[in-house]
This record gives sequence, structure tokens and C-alpha cells, in this order.
Amino acid sequence: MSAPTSRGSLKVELVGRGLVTLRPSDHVATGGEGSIYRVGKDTVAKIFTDPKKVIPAKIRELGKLKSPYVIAPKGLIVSEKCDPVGYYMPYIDEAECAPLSRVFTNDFWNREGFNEKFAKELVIRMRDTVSFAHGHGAILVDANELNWFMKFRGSNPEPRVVDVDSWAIGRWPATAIMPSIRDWNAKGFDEKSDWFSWGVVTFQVFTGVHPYKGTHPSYKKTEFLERMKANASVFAPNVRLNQAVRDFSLIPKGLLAWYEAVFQKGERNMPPSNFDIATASSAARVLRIQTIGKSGLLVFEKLYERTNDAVVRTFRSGAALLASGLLVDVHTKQEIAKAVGRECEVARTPDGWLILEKENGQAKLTYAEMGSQKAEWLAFSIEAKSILGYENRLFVLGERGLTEIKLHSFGTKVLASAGQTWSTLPNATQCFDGLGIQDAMGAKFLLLPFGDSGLMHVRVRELDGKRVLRGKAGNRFASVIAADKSGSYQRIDLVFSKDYGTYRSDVTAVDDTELDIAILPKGVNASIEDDGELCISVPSSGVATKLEDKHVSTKMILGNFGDQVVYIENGSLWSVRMK
Amino acid sequence: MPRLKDATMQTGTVRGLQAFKFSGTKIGELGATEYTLVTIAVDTTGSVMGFDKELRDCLITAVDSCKKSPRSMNLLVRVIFFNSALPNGIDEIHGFKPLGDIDPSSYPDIVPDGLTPLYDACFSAVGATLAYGKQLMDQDFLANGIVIVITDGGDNVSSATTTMIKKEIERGTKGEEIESLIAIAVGVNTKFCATELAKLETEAGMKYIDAGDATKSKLAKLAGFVSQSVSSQSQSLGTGGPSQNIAATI
Repeated sequence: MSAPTSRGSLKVELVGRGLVTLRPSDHVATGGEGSIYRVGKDTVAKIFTDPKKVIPAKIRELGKLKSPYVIAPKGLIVSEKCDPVGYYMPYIDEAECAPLSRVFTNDFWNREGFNEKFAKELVIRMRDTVSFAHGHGAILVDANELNWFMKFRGSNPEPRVVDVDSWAIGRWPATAIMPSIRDWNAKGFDEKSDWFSWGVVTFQVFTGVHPYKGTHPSYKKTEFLERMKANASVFAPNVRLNQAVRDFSLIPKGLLAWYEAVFQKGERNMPPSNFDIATASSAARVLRIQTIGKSGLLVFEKLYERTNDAVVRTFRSGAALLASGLLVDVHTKQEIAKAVGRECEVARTPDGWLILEKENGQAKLTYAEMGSQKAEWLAFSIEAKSILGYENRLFVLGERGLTEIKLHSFGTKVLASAGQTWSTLPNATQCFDGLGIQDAMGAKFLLLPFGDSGLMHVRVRELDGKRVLRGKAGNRFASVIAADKSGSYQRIDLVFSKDYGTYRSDVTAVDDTELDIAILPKGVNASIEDDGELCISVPSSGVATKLEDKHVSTKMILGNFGDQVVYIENGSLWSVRMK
Repeated sequence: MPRLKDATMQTGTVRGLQAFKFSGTKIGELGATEYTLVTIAVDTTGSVMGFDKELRDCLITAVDSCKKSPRSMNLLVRVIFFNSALPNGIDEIHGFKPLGDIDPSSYPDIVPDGLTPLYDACFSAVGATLAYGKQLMDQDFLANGIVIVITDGGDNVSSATTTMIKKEIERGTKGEEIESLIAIAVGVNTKFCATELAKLETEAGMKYIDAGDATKSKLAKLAGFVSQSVSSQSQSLGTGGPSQNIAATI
């Protein structure tokens, strides 16, 4: 059997549909097995180069698969001599259906408005499609990203799976598989190997990267097939991924746990019926971090990002505030609560989170139990001129002074109360990040919380006569940006003795009011003053090291989660550490 | 010299020889996790006069056809013209760019002129692919490359030699600077230079293909060949190659 050439056409019969003439102008594509021709608006014909490869009984069996997502053969095609030469099937309009390999890219997501919600819908339908095939006794075997398409016009993404005649069904085995989706640890092809292949493809829908790619310290970049055999996936420690890889937090938690179990631990089973329910073992390790640019001594790792909802602030307790007001637990990626505005502080309790906000001149307290994702407003009435957070402690500045908030648990009941109050002039006190500054008739005092329950008033003469603009304090260290009477800015760094009884100061003229510093509880600071340079210092000893790295930018907004340095850049949350 | 210097592009230099320049999309701007770097180098010497329009059409069709590839969003395409009348013998029409950012219909008309710095074109095309590929690999992207040089004549003015080209290609096959590299020379109207062009295969390590006469239909086929080669090389990167027969040992 020969395909139509430029010199002629081919007359064939679509069994059940009638005679047609395939002309060279109907030609769509030619592959390894044969050529595809368009027949009318909604049908294509596959004509095999070698007619002996047409198996009529298999085509008839596959024709019984009726699913909108499965592009199954609809009938045989026979020659004028009634010899089988191919089959016909529904036509996929590429103007409406994108090959799945394109859906992997950020360019596609940005251009088409695709997002994680659509990704989840699509992947659920792909799962249902594989289940449908299995339910009819078929094994897909070679369902690689070039055999999946997606119909998407701004909503309701639908999969389409093609090359169905290559499936194994009945007594007819599959004959080929793409190396990148093959379960190299399986001895044959069955439902479990299909789910592995499905996992490889759908993981890329969410993240854009093959689960065995990225830079693994023990393998060459060309050895991704070897990594598949060794279960050395992206979930392995120290695998580096480029900046175009989407954050794993886009993957529903239950499915993420399944991916890790399959790709890294070698487990083989069906994906979860509910993608959102995480297993106990996955809860502790939700995040596969992303690394870019590791030049020199610094390693940058992406901790969190959310499409169209930038991270705007971090709290030392390990929470992050998004532009939408959502507060999230960065470690587990779970939403904690929704804040009314940006003026809030978040502390971690043994079983949950305590959120302090200022609303209409009153302190508002919310408690969110860990893992429940339910926030409870706590009855607690106290006037608030301002609020202050220090490490894991919360304070309200009111008429009586600076009052610490205490939380009490009585079984399942949680109550908030006012703890110790330190006197201060409420109308002459400003709250900053980790400290208050009181102007007592021109004399400046710092209000410095320290330890688990202490707070010290420290007279700081260096600030007298200056207008304080920004401040940040941590363990035995505070840094303040102030303007003098001439309008010049100064940064005053203060290093305190262990009992906060004395301090050493360092005054530096600065060009702007930026205070880009992370003050770690262990007594180390990280700061950025110039692009390309991260300064690591130990204030108590005066030792400082400047680490040059082209990825360091003054656009980074530094903070810390405990002793971990984090920063916000372009709406994403990252960590940075020394190699 | 690179001519497109928009904010999304960066420039680089090919090591050795005349320090050929190239440009490519800034790595921070890239939207996929792996790329095939495609370079199409087109001979624009005086001898292409008479089919220069068809040659340009062939180039446009080839680049347009790449957009139909399932992995079109994983391609970065660079187009250069070469003849000795150009500065350094090479004119970069555009550097490595995503296909979505390329409008092939805006490619300039070919103005046939000068002699044939064929080896320089091959050397710089391979070198630029390696240099940009290394930058991608250093940033944990996966990259491979394909260089296609279309010419109608043997070299007669280059500084580079076939040995130098061969060394560059060998660098690309070690998998350190780039995952893999294919370099193809395509000859058109090769009646009087077929033997000379065959040296690109025997001495320089490129694959040589004789496309026959520079007729409209032959050039149309050449465009198809280019896009198929590109698609195949890209598929090789993303999937480890096409679907393979299942061995009976399984």
C-alpha cells in the first residue's frame, strides 16, 4: 500500500462511512508508522506505510472505547481491493488543542492564562482517562507528552489522548514506549507502569520539569534515564532546579506526596482519589525547594510563591503575608488566616498561630489551630495605638503602655489575656520591627524585648534630636535609620551587652532609608547595601564577611525564620545560605 | 555583530579566532526549563543571486514550520547571514530567541554580495551555540543544539579551518557545555563545489546533505528538512528520543 503522492490520489473506503479519495492536499503529517490525512471537518485517516501492521480485530476492540478524551479508532479503512490499510478517528484541531509539551512551559501559562487550578482540573481528567482505559482492559503504555493534548479556551481544560492504536488491549501488546516515561524498574507494562508514566507527564504540567531532571550532584545532566532507574528524582537532597521551574507548592498536597513516593521511594500504586489530602508522612516535607545560580559561596532556594499573589512580608515565626491578605505557613504551605491589612504580627504557639492586628483602634486577636485551616477570633478587648512583634512575642501599645499578649489553652478552648505592661508614653512611642522607640521630651529610649519575657528601656543619646524613620531589632542588636536636622540619613547600629545594660554604637551616613537586614537569634546578621554583595556579620565580635554573588540584589527584602535568612524578591520568598 | 539589543537580550562572545559576537535571551527571561538552541546560517554571497528570494522564502518557511513543533516553546532560534562583504563576514539577524518573539516575515531581503566565509560561519555558529548553551547549563537548564548551514559554495575567504570547526563540534559532543550538538551543512546548487563541501563532513565533523538544485520545490523541501531536524533534536532533549521498540526481553 502506498500513500498518495504528488502525482496521484488514493481511493479508500472508511468502513461504515463510505468511499473517499485522499489527495496530497489532505496530507497532515507522516510518522514512523504511516501518514495522517484530513477527511472532512471532523475526521482524520491514518494510512499505514506497511499495511501488514494493521490489525483489524484490535482496531475494532479499540473502537469500543467511547470517551470524549480518548481519540480512539472509529473504524477500519480498506483499499479498493478491500485490504485493511488503516483506520479513521476524530480530528483534533491544533488551533484548539495544544500538545501537552507546550503546557509545561511558563510561556504557555502566561500567554493563555493557565494556572494551578486549571492544571489540577486537567490532571484529574487525565487520571480519569487512564482509569477509563484500564476499566476497559487497555494499557496505554506510551502515553507520553506528545500523545496528550489539551483543549483549553480560558477555562475548563480537557485532555485528549492520541495514538490509541499503540495501546495494549486484549491479546495485542504494545510495541513502543518513549524512554522518558518508561518505568525502568518494572518488568513489563501494566496499570502500575501506566500510572508511573502518567505521573511523569502530569508532574511536568504542574512544575515544568521532568521528575528526573534538574542538576543532581551524583549524575551528569545527560543521565536522566540512569536517574530514573535509580529513583534519583528531583525530591533527592541537593538537586538544583533552574529558575523556570514552578514551585512544588502548586501541586495539591496529596498528589505531591504520591509523586515523591513514586519517583523517589520507588512505590507503585494508583494516584490518590483526592489530590488534596496529604498523608501523614508528607506533611513534614511538603516543599521541594528550587535553586538557581550558585556562584561562589551562596545557595539560593525558593521557599514559596503563589501565582498572582505576591509575598509582601515575612514574620520571624515562619509565616508570610501575601498581597491578598492571606497568611501562610511557609513550611507546610497551608493557609493560616486572612489578615485585614498589612499591620499585623504573627506568633507561633505550640499548637497553632496567634495573629495580632490593629483594627479601628482596637487589638484584634485570631487563633488558627495548626493543620485545621480554621481561624477563630478571640474575645479580647484592648485599645491599640500600635502593635509590635519580637521573635515569637506580641505586644500592644495602648494608653497604659506596652502590653504583652498571653495565650492560654484550656483543653480545646483557647483564651487570650493581657500579660505584663511596661510603662511608656503612648503618644510619644513608635513601634518598629522588634522594638519601640520613645521620645521623652527629646530624650530617646529604646524599648527592647529580649528573651522569653523580658523588656528593657535603654537610653540612646545618639538618637536625640533625630527623627527615627525605621528600626529593626533582634537578639542583642538593633539598627535604626534616622534623619538629622539637616535631613541627612544615618544608620545607627547598636550592639548590647548580655544584660542590655550597656551598648556599643556605630553611626554610618547612608543615602536612603532602606534597612535591609536579617537579625538572627544566634547573633549573626545578614545585610545588603550594594548589588552583588551580601554582608555576614557577628555584631558581638565585630567580625564581618562580604560575600560577592551576582544574584544578590538590593531588591531583596531580607528577613529571617529563626536562624534561616529569607528574602522576598519579585513576590517570591527565597532563602539564602552559605554553601 | 548582534543587531537586536532589546532589554530581554544579552550578548556573548565566541571564544577564539575573531571573537565572534552573538546575542541571546537573558536567562532570567526564559519560560521553559530546557531548550534546543537552533542556528540557521544562510549563505548570502554573490552566487545566490538569482534565487535569493527563494532562499529567503525557504528560511521564513523553515522558521515558521518550527512553530508547529509540539516542543516549539522549547526552541531558541538564531539566524545569521554570511558573506565577506559583511563586517567580520557575519550578520546576526537575531540572536537566540523564543519562536513566539520572532516574526520571520520581517527578515530582511538577501542582498547577494562578497565571497564565502563558510568555515567562519560554521565556526561561529557552533561556538555561539556552545557558549550560550554553557550559560544555560550553568544555570541548571538543560540545553542541546542544532546548527544548520545553508550554502551554495565552498569556502574561499575564512580565517577558520575545518580542523577548528571539528574541535568546536567535539566540545559539543562531550556533554559538558551542552547536552548534545548536531551540525549540518546543506548544499544547494552544488554542481561545481560538491567535493569541496563534502570536506565539512570528512574534515569538520559536520553532517553534509546535498539538497540539489536551487529550485522552488527543492528549497521548499529543504525548509521541511530544517524544521523536521529541529523538531527531532528537540524531542531528543526532552524525552530521550522518540518512542523505542519494546525489546522481547522485557
